[in-house]
Amino acid sequence: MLIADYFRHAAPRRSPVIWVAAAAAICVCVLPAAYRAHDDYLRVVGEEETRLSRAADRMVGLMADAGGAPVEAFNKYAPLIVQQREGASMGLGTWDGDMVARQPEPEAFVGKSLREDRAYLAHRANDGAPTSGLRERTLAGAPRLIVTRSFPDRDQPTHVLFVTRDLSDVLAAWRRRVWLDAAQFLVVAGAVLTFAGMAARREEGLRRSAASAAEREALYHTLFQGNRAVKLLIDPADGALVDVNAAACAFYGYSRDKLLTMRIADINILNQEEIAAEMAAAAAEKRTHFFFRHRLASGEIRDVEIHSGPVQYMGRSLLYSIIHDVTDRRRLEAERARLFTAIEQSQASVVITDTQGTIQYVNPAFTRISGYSAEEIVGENPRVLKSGHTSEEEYRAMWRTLASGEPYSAVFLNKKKDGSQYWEHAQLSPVRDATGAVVSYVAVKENITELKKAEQDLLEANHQLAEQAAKLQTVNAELEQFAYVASHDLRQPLRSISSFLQLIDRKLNDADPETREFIGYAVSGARRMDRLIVGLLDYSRIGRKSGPLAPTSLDEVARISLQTCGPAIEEAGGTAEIVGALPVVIGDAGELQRLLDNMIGNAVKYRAPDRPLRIEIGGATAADRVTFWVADNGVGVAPKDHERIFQMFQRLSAGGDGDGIGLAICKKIVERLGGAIRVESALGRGCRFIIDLPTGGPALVGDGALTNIKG
Amino acid sequence: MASAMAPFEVMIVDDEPADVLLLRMALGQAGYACNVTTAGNGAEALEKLRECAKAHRPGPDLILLDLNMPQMSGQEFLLKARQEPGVRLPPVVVVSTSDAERDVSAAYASGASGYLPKPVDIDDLFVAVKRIEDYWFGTMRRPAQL
Repeated sequence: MLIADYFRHAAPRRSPVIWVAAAAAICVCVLPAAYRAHDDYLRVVGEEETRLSRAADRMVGLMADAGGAPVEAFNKYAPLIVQQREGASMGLGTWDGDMVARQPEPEAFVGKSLREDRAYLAHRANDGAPTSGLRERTLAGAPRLIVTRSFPDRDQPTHVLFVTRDLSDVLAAWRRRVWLDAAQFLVVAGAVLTFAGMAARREEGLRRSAASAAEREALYHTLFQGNRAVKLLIDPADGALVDVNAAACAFYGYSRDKLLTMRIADINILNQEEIAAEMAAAAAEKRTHFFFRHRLASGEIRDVEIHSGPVQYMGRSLLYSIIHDVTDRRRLEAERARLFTAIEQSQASVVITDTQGTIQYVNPAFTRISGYSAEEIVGENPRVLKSGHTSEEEYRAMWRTLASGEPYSAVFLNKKKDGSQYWEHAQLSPVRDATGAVVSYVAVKENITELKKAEQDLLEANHQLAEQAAKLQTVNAELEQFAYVASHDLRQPLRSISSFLQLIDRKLNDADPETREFIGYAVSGARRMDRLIVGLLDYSRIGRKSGPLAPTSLDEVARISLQTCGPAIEEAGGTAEIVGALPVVIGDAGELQRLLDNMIGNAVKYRAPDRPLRIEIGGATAADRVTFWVADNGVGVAPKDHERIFQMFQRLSAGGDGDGIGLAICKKIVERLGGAIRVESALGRGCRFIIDLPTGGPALVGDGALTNIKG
Repeated sequence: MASAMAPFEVMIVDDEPADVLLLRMALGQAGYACNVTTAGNGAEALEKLRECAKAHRPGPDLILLDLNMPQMSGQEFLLKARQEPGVRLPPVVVVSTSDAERDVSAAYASGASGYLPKPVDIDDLFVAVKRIEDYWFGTMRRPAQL
């Protein structure tokens, strides 16, 4: 294994010295062993050969001494010798090559030809000299040693004597010895090689460790200093920065020298507990990286992702940290999360399709509106929503527009899952990838069913309003005519009644006073009737005779009004005064004057008999309205009547010369200007009529067109 | 004072007999000697003016014209009389029940020389008519007296 390891890891440039030494050691071991084995072989075979040769020579001697027929002599002595030489056998052949005797087992061999036998051939080739040889392969399959002799001698041979022995046992014993030797050798050689391998390795290790600290420094510099990634080596004991690379200096904005004086806590804005919590979270999520926030020299905080692990460096265990600035990625992720939330929460339905029109995404609003869940609709074509209202031509135009990369917007009548229909305003936009190719379409659709309905309702309402307005125009015209007729035709007979009653009165100069008193009542009734008609006409004419509303100086109007009413005030023995500056109001000068005339007239009319009349007109401007008032010290109005006095024909005192129209006209004038009139008063304490008007005039200047009669 | 002269002629154009009577009384009360002719509506009045023109008579010196009359209103009469050749239209004072502004302005626009809303009080009427006579009789007579 070690050897295999060695060769597997062998590098060509390793030193051969050790291996030369190892080879030499092995040779030193192998050669004597081989020599010894060979020597042993020769010895054992040689011993056998010596024994067989001695037996053969003795047999030749015995046969020569016996004389007579060699075969008989052989048969006489051979069994004895074969018996002495265990495992040996003897054979006798004629010089010509016929086996004539064999001991033992003569019957198996005698009569066989020897002419093909290698031992016989070798003997004849040797000119009858004695031979010996080892035949590894024989008929019996065993290695045999064969020794031959000529008989009676090599000069006049008649027969060839063979002495053989099976050497299987001898050679087996020899082989065993050789194998034992070989096994011993292998053990020794293995030990030598192991030692050599270890020595080689050690030598290699030494060589490597010696291989240039400068080269290693360069490598380190490349891997650490030269890397674009921000890298820190941190002492885990106190967080001190042991080494930082150029990218770190650039990222943090500190010089290398400065950074090397800092600790990681100076950079990480989290405290110890928070850091520990993040590390625990990373462990729980099986993350090998942490998310922290680091402060740069500029004070800027960046989100960083840190890959960190322990390294051994210069004999110290340090934390090797690679810092990635993920601020932008975080921001994008947050942005993406925000956008996704916006889409998910949107009231408008959002549908995203691929360029084939196959739906890839729908938001919850889509499900809410259409009734199709995301699972049902994703993978479908939006045509399932078609109600048939939109023409195919329009759909084609839509796809054409989108395919050309232009947005398209239209209103569709679509069909829900339950078959009911809804109106949608869809804004469809192509989405392009970085290369500008259209990759999908986004549809943002607003359910405008309610809007459509409201639009329809509005149209109907407008139509009705127009009809109403037209009717109102007619009614107004009729009313105008009516008012005119009233002013003319009602007053004509009234005037006749009044005039002729007066004429009768004059003719009745001498009649009894009671008759004349009755006529007086009739005349004053007719006069009152005429005043009422005139008042009604005035009331109905407010806002019709006057011109457009314009900023009007109330001060000016009040002065004219006081001039107009001056005689009446003087006659009543009263005084009137404008207190302070009066505001400018939006209105019609003529109507405003009538308003003031009416109120001044009221003040004169309802003055207190026991004190001189005093009238004051004042005003003020607030942020959103102007206020003015007319105050007097007259009889006043009881609080219960504060509302009633502004109603038509509501007179408080029977038999007074009021006709119950003046304040109703005032109220109408003020309300036409978008304002309000009210009275502050108590019975016997005078009253103050307060008018509030909006600064900008009535909210709807054209209001008069519909609410007032217009000629 | 004007006795040496031909009496002043005033034509009252009014469909209301009571009003005609009152105006007649008012004219008489003022103390001027004058002949009063009457017409019940604009058409009658126009016909009378035509007759005068045919007969080469000078016709009325002053017309007191009501506006709201059957057949032909006062305003229509004014317009037609002014346009008709040969017809001589004397000064016209409109005397109407209406004091509506549109009637007043329309009357002046049609050529009226004065406008008197009919007062409800008889004394007011008498005073108003006397003022008219004071003005117009004085004006009209002056060249003849010189």
